[in-house]
Amino acid sequence: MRPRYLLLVFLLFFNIIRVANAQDVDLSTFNVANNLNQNGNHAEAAKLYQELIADGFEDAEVFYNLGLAHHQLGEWGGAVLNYERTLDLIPRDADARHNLRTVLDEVDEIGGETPFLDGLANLKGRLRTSELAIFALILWFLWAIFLVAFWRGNPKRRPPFLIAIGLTTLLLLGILSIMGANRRLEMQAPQAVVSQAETAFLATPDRTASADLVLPAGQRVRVLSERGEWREVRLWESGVVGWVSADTITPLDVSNAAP
Amino acid sequence: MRRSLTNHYSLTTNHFLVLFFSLLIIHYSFSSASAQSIVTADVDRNTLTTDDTLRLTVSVNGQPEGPPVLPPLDSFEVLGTSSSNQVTIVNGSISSNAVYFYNLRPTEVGDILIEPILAVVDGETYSTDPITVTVEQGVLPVAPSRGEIVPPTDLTGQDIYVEAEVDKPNPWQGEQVTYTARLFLGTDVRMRGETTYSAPEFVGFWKVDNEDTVSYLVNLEGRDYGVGEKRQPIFPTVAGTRKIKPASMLLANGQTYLTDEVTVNVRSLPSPSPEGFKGAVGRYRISAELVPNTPTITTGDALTWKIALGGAGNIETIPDPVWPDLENARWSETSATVTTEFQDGVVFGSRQYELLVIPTKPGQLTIPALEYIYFDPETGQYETESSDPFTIEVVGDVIDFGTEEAAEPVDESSSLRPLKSAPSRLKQKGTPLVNNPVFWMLWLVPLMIVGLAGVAHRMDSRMKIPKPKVEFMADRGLSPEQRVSRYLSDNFDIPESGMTQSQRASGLREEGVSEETIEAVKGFFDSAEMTRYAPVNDANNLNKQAKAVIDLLKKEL
Repeated sequence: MRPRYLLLVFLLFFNIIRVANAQDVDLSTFNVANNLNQNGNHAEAAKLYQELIADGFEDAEVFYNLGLAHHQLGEWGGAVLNYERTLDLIPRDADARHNLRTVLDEVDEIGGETPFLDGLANLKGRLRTSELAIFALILWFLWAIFLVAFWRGNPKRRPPFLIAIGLTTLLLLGILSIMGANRRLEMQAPQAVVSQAETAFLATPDRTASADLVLPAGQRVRVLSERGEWREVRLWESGVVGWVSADTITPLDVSNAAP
Repeated sequence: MRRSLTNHYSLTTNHFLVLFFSLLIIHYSFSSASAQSIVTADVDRNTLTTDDTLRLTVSVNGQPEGPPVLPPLDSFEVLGTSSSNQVTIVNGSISSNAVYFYNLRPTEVGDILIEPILAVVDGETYSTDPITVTVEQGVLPVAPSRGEIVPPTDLTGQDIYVEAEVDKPNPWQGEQVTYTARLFLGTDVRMRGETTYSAPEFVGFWKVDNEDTVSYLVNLEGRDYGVGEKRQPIFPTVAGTRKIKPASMLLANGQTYLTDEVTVNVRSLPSPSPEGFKGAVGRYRISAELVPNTPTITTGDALTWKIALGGAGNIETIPDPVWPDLENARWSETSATVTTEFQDGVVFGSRQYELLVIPTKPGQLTIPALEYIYFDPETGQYETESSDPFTIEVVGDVIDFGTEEAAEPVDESSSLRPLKSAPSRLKQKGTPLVNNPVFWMLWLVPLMIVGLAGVAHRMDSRMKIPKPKVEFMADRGLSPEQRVSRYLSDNFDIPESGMTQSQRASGLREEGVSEETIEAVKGFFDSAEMTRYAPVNDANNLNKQAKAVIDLLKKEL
């Protein structure tokens, strides 16, 4: 009875947080942009979606429709960027996943062998980081309940609790590792997308250096470090590291993106 | 006879008087009629809307001395005039006829009186009858009158002056605003060549491609200026304060002049909006027509459902009507055309849709009314327009078209997934859950639960009276058999009494006790049974045996 009650209180608490974060807004701009998009005015529609984002609305629908507008304009960089932003918010969005696959077929992205940390982070699959965190917290509660039951219960009933404690410990450690990998990547190597076609990928941050590779618009990268107007990047899910000009990439995090 | 003559005379006089007055009346009537027929006025309709144009025709029989004199037409805007002259020669007699046409657009609603129109022919002034027309409100808002040119306050005799303004500084989101940029150039300034106008970007506005360019002369404070005016209709797409950056004009003298920045405070549409409102702002009408317009049709025959959505507003961006699901029929959209015009400061146009409807089952086919919800910026209200519904009797056999998917296979690999419609609310960026300190504080709760359990355990241990150990029970008068039975009951849920050897053994087996221990327990109870009739020495042995069995059971735990 007690664990069930605690879970109820816990879920209610998070629901309150979510409701407090969401704000009702006028959707007219979104509708106008959608109408423009439907009528083939993708460029104007994209402007409106961008204005909404600039006004602080970081909504999966806005990102998705902006990505679609870029997609239909043949702007692969903007399309990949905004589909990725959509999937960052709703990893299970089948439409965004489908369209991203479609645009990546056009981009011809350069990749390599997936590093361990990226592979671990990818185990998150189609769960949001917040969902993973809630799952970990629930497991943590269960672990504590099993421990108390093991300790205080009938000695003859201890073996099942011991197994349950072992399993929850393993699951908890696994989830925390995945969360940690994602967090580390977010903090130390945030994702960005190449926004300009034929971006020079250099071995050194020097305009006179010859380009090792030419990156296509829409190429996904991770930003490792900054040096003035240069960004050290690692190509998507590969260990290939080089330098690009800062104005050729757009970070996935809107707050870090140039207006 | 005389009498009769006198009478006859008398009658003749009376007749003469009657004839005289009759002739007089006829003369005046004829004169009046001929005067009226010299100048006549007519309109092409007596009932119209503010969207329509009234054609006023003034005909003058004879050679007028100048055009007719129109009365003040305050309730109309004169859109244009034209005239024609006709000279006819019949049997050497020459007659002429002049006709004047006036295209008028009503600017007011209600009954409007057009006062008599005067014309001078051969020195005589003739007038027409007054005409009354009834004007109803149309769909389009009344075009703003250009009116008097208000001189800019900053224009104080400069040779060149530029300015920009909007007609509505506080429009609704989606309402038409006309941005006007003007160049005032003194007529006495010598400048040859073209002026290059660069419009601002209109960030936050939807710009209609149609723009209006007019030029005219004005006299401001005694100086003549040639004015070039660019009028650009724009529609604010985002609520809030928006600044339109300056327009620039590069003149033939090589100098660039910038207008001032224009600020527009765009109002959000009233909330909540009605269900079904998709963002259309303006004033619209929707009508539907079914071709052929027949009461009966056979299954499989096609009907064309023509829908016209028109009015004033940003016709290019308004949403399509929501097409209904038709029972007993299939439909597909065959064409949709959009036309937009910018005239007299108003953007208007229409969308024409054609839907092919094919009845598939006999019975009554109902094509419902289409509802279109829009926000009218003039009234500040949400309005709903509806088209006419249609009901047709369908005869014939059922036609099976199969499933839609089978009819139109979709190439999933190449097609893009569609736009997402508006969610119930747009979310602003919030704090991620993992960055929320409250979330991490919750992680302490399980630790607290474990801690409290530990405290409770310790308190229980302190308060609990230790159970007497089995070994000491012999001193309390329990037999060895009873001691082992009690031990089994306390630790293995085996009842102390009423158990056969085999039941006890299977109970221990269920508890996971080894066969060796079970055999030992069994042996002990067999010995106990035999010892009941044995001497005291054997009873002492049984005590030792009981201790050994209990030790074995302890190991099993």
